[in-house]
Amino acid sequence: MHSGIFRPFTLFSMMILLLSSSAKALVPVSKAFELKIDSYKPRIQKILRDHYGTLWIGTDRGVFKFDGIGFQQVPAGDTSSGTVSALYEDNLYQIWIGYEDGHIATIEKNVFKFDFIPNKVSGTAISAFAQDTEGKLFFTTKGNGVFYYDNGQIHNINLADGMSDNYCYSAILLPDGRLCVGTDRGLNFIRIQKEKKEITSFSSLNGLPDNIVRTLSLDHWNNLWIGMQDKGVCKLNFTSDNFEITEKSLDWTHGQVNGLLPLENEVWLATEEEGIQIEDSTGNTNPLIFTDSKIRLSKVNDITMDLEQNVWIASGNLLIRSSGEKLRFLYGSPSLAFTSIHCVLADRKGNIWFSPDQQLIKASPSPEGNFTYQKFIVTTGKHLTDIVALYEDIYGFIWIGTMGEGVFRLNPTNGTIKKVHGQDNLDNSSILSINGSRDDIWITGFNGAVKFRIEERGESDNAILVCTSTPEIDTLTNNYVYAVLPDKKGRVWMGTDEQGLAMIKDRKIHFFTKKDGLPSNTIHSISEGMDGNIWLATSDAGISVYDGTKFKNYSIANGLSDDSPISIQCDKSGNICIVHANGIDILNPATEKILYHGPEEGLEELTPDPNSISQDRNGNIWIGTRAGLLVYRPFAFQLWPQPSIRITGISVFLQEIDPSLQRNFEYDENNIRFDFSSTWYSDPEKIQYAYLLEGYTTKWQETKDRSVIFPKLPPGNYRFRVRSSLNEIEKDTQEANYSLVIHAPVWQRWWFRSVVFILASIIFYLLIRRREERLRKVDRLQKEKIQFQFETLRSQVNPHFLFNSFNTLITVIEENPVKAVEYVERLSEFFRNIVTYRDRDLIPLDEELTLLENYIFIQRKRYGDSLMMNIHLDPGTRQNFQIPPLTLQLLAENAIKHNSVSKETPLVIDLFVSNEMLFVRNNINPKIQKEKSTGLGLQNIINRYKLLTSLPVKVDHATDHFTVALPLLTENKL
Amino acid sequence: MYRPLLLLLVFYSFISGTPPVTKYYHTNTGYVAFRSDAPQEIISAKSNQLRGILDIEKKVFVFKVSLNTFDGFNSGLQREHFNDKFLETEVYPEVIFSGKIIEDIDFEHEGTYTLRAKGKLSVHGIEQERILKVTVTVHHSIIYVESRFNILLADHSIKVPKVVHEKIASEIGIDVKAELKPKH
Repeated sequence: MHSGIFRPFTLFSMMILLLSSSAKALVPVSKAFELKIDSYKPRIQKILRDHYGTLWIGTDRGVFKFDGIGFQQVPAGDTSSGTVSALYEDNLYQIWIGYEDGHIATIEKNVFKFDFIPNKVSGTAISAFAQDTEGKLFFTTKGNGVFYYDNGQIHNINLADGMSDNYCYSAILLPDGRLCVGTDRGLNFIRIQKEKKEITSFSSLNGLPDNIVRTLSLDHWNNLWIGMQDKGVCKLNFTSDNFEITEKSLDWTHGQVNGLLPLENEVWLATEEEGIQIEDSTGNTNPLIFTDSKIRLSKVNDITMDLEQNVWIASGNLLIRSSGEKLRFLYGSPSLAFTSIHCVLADRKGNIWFSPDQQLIKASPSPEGNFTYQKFIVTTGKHLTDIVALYEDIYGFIWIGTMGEGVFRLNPTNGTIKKVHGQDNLDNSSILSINGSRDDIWITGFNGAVKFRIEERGESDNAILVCTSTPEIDTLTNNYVYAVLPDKKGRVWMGTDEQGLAMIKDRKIHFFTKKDGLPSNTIHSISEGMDGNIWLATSDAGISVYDGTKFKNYSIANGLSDDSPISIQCDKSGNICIVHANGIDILNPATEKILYHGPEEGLEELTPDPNSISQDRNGNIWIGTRAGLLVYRPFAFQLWPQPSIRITGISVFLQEIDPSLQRNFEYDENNIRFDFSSTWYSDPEKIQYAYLLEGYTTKWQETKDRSVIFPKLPPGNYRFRVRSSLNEIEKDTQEANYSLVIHAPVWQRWWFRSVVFILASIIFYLLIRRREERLRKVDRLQKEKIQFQFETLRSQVNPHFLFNSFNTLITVIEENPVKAVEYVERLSEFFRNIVTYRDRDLIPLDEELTLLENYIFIQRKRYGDSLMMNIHLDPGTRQNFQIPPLTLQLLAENAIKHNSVSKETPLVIDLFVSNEMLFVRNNINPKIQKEKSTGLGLQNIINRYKLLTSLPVKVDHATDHFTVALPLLTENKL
Repeated sequence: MYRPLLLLLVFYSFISGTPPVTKYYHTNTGYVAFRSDAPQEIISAKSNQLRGILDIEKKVFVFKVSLNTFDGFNSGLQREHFNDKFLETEVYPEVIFSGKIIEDIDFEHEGTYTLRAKGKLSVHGIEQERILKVTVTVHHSIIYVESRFNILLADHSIKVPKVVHEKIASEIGIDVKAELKPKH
């Protein structure tokens, strides 16, 4: 079945050295930020973390906002910036500031709004704020009890109401809806119900260790932690009706407690005299040590935690960030530095085994919350060797893989170390990884892989080990195998150099390579997730996960910090811890979001060895690096922390506006600047912003700046969207947005345009109509004129007229040839005039009269003195007025036509002017036989005048005379 | 806050007659000493005229001492400096400490207790809120009070000229002992 080589152990070494400097605690990474105003160093009194995660700092010089890099003072308005004694964010995210001098302020639009309450109400220092479930805001004072706002009124609760003391330090709302106030004489539990104050006190008479309760805090499980003046801290279980002190510190000597912060396993106390004291779950108290040796604290005023699990400490003018429980280093001593660690193993008893340089150290947790160290010398006797692989078998023995000296097995109870002999390729070989499952131990290294089986006496120094060689394992001989992992399903995974990922299953070996979707053929580290997925760290192509069917790869393109991960470990929360040269990335496989811990958090130049990673029984991940022994505590985040974004200001032409009020802008208010900010205290420089102005741009613009300006925005509807992330990849991050409208100028708005259009249309229409009217008028005039000419011509060329004229002419020729010439001349002139005036609308009255006279002359040759015409017109009238041509001639013709003209009944035509009218009047002697009349002549005149003037032509048909009154026209009357 | 209380107690201390229950304990002959350990000069002085009254029911107290009752200086000049330069005794003639006892103890029960007296300490016209540890022994209806504490000159705006900087410590040690007897 197998070609087993059976050999006993060789005892090489049995050395245990107890290190003298044995008491060492885990040290979180810290960084101090110094607050200074010019040369003044404000004392930080209070720290508030708001719901966004932003830190507000209350000092003796007002309030500052901290963004992870620097402090920005909140403008104090016109009131002096006094000493802040309380900071609070209410349910509506309003920030309240209480001052030593009794003032209360709120922050609005980044500026203080002071004197929310009249001074006389309080007058003593404000010590705390709290808000109940109904939204009533309480504040406590150092001497005048508790106040609260209700229905716009301020009420007081004090000794007279049953409080045990009026000097209050702290207040907190309990989950049962009661307010708990810490005073000089114990706790007071207050409930306001319908104006009725229900107060219960709890003091040293009830078992409280110390009456002076300075600070209160609720932990994750809703226990109430009480920080006292003289007796440290205690925990109160208030869910039962009987108050029960479940934990208390004895012999407290660190001074009064100014602030406390319950973490998951520990409670951190800000003390008056001895910096931060950390009380662990066993009740032991140890001082917080700072990685930055320059930080030495005595009086600490406040302590809080941000959303990224960083702890913030206020002391003097220093604001100190500590990695709290999440990241810590275990430091050695000056004589034995815990650096250049090649491998680490957390055993099942809670001991940590690791190998700085060529040593093997066992760090055992002590009951006091520290570690004691034991040093083991592992050697074949020739020289010391690097220890590069550690494994604890099921018997609790430690397998030690060395560089060039093979494998040893160590009995931790007596320190016996024995060399493990196996195949030749193992004895003096270099080991890279040891792992196992029950009695099977896999050892891999520069010469492939070896499998051992603990046959018997596994619990003793003389265990019988059988080295098995099988064809499928032999395939790997002479190959580097960096990592080995037997999984829960009975498969064994091996990470090889250039040959891909080897999987041994049912005595068969299978290689997964790039062809199968692996990003690289060199695998440095392997870890099995809780779901059975196999996670791999490749040499240079990121990480990969195998779910049983396919590989899924993550690289820098997916947000990883580094494509050359060195170790990988699935943590107890289901996240993947990826170690690289300059930090660790934490990947959440479900959301594919990544958290980063890097140089900013002290993880610098780690350059760890592959597989120098181990998960302890509590789920903490130990990482051995060149820089030291690091422990990462996975946190079950309720909310995956991410930088939260908010728009901090909007400016129009650099003039800040109130974003809550103004969302409508005029067309010339189109230079708009948006300020936004996000905080990521663990590494502020890592924040990336992306913004989009909907309605203007369509692509997200990435930036590191915290403001953007849009000059010359055209009118329109816009929505500014901005988000922040820790890498370029993340897209579904939180977003802040702001909608605004830039109105078009008045001349571009639709209603204005409509009105203008309608007006223009009306004007155009009117113009057209007037023009048409005029055209029609001209047309009619033309028609009338033609009609008139026709009439005139017809009447003049009336054969009767011509016949009469010729007869007359014959008579005249006979009687008086000279006169005949004149007659013909007149006749000729008359006709010429008719032709000449034919096309004209108006002619001077004078000319018409000449024509008329010619006509009368012609007619008088026929009628003699029976026809008389009297023209009573002065020369001025003749010259100045105008008349349509042939009007008078026509009237004269009509008169002749319609009347008998004889000696007995002479026809007299009178022309005179009266009332600005030219009158043509003739007497009436109707003909017996009426000449056929078209009646068109007079009508034509009337029509023509209608076109020329608004004045009417009056016709008076009396019994004895017929009168036509023509308006006197001047040229411009047309 | 303690001022009305103070007036009340002062008032009580002047009227004669016996309250129905002995809830007040008082002294007029308490001992106060101070000591300044400066590199160049040690200044110390004491007074036996500390007056004090304690209400054992309400657990409030007032103690005061006139600065001109101090003696035991090294020299008259030192005393003059003490009174004129540093403490301006003419303007601020008294040191007063008034406040309350934090611990819930029964002063009628014999025994020795360590208590905290919290109150306002007025020195040089400047009030500072202090919590002082006091050892109290109740024996045969007498309350023995003992306390040691420090006063920071800076806390009370006591300015020390640069010249005498080496002669006066920034912190002055105070020693108090008093026997409070029931006030009938």
